[in-house]
Amino acid sequence: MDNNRLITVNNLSVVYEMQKGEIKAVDNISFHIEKKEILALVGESGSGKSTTAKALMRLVNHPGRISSGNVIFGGEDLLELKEEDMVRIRGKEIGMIFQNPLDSLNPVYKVGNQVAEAIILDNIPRQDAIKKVIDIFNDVKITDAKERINSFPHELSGGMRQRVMIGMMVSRNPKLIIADEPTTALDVTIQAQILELMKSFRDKYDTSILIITHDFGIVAEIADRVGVMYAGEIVEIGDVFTIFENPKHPYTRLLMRALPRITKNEGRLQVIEGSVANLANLPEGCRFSERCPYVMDICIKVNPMLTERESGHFCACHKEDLNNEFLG
Amino acid sequence: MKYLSILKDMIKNKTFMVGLFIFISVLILAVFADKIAPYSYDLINVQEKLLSPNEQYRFGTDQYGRDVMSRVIYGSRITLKVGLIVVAIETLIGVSLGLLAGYYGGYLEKFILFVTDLTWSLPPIIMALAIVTMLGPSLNNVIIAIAVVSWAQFTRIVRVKTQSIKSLSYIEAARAFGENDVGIMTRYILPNILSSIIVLSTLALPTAILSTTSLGFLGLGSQPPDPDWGLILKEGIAYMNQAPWISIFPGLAIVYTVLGFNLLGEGLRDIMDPRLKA
Repeated sequence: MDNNRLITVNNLSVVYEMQKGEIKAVDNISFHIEKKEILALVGESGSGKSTTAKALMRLVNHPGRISSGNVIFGGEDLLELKEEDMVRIRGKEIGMIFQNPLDSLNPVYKVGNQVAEAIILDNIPRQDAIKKVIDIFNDVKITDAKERINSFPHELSGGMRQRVMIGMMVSRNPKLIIADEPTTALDVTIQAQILELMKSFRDKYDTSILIITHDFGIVAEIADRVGVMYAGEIVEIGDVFTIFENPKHPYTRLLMRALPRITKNEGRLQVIEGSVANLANLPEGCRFSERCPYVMDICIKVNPMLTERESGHFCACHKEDLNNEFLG
Repeated sequence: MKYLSILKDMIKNKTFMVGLFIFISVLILAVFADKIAPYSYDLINVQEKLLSPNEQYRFGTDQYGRDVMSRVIYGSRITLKVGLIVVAIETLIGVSLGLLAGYYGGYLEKFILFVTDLTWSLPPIIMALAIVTMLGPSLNNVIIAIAVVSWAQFTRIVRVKTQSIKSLSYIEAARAFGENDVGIMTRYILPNILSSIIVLSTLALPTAILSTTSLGFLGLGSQPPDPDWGLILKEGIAYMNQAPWISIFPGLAIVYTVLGFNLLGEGLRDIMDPRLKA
């Protein structure tokens, strides 16, 4: 089973050093991604999901700092590598697609040259690189690829720019693609196309994908497994079907209930009361206790650990027998 | 498309066009000096010394009977050459330090800023004087001296621009696909601040020219018989009462060139980087 693992994250913590003291944006999380697998990390804003993604690439910016843990990839701990070696990993082994395609491209270069630059990093001659760019643009379904390589980023639509970004990231055939809210800035039809595109790359090149999102709709559409993050911790992780059918954590349930559904006439959209726990002033016990409808005495005192409920399905909650009536 | 609109802006901008005209005229004078000038700059003809401007010598002659007009025309070579070299060195030092300071931050930035402030706090001409005195008077030493004291403004502006671009997501994206620091600085940040650098360089040109002619005037730059404008001006001072034209014409040439380059720079700034005003 371990042979199938592409990347394993153990006890990763990221702290932000603020004037008032340290804030733990990511607190002691562990997960792994298998080869060819699409793992989704879901959570509200501020739950630490983007920080986790950046930490894997060692792109956490000051004042943020990875304070502990290890990230095992290809037999090495990425957090122990020298910066020069990490540069070699970035793009080549692990690619990253960003939230905002509108300013993720260098405005002064034509998009074709920009993608070519990425390919040339692998010591491929420029002529061949340009040819490869056209192939890639066809792959990511950019129409008129031959014309488009001569466009500047500002001449392309958001969806097109995200396709260019994806093209740039897959151009070096990384083993893992981290996509940080890749469709947030795009409208729904484009969103579906981009997700479809990412899935097709997984099938074609056996790439693993870590997708960061706040949208359970995207999870349902693309992911094999899903991890739910709350206030810097993973509170539930497991197979996507299991979690959708039988979520064990009250937070996951509430999140799903907050999804709009067209099959049920429920009137107004359900919301989760309150807001994400203040990372600077975390409750002593379970971080969700303040908003949890099932809160018990123990929840306020002790923060629950992730425990395996079914094979491969982990949940961090003191209440082990959540019934289904709550799902509604 | 993008270039076309810049070209249109240029043609519409009168300041820029006047500056460009002056720049090109000086450039032509410098390049074709030996074809345009009626005499050589060091052709001595003692019998015809201190003649006032006339048909044969349009700007008159100096104390050795040399044609002032020819000397002024040849002088444009020195002026342009020195100006361009000084600005090139200034730009190189200033931009590299600015990029490093803005990109890496931390102690390196503090150190670079300290040196920058230090350089900036010294009066440039006095500093240049000190350096030239140390190295001995010659044109090359003047070039070194002026470049060494005037890169500071490049560093400050490039640093600020680098900082603001560094945090944009395309820089993060570049890092994510494996660009190293040098690649990010040269291929991502530099091209994006190039317009500001061009404007700054153009605006630094007249200052550099004024400084060289000043040092020439003080006798620290070119040595006779080189037709440096500052030097000719100074030599003419002794004959101010009998032959004011010796000093007047190189003086006018300096004013013409400096004014032209200033206009060029201001025009470029309006076209390429309006935010740089202040």
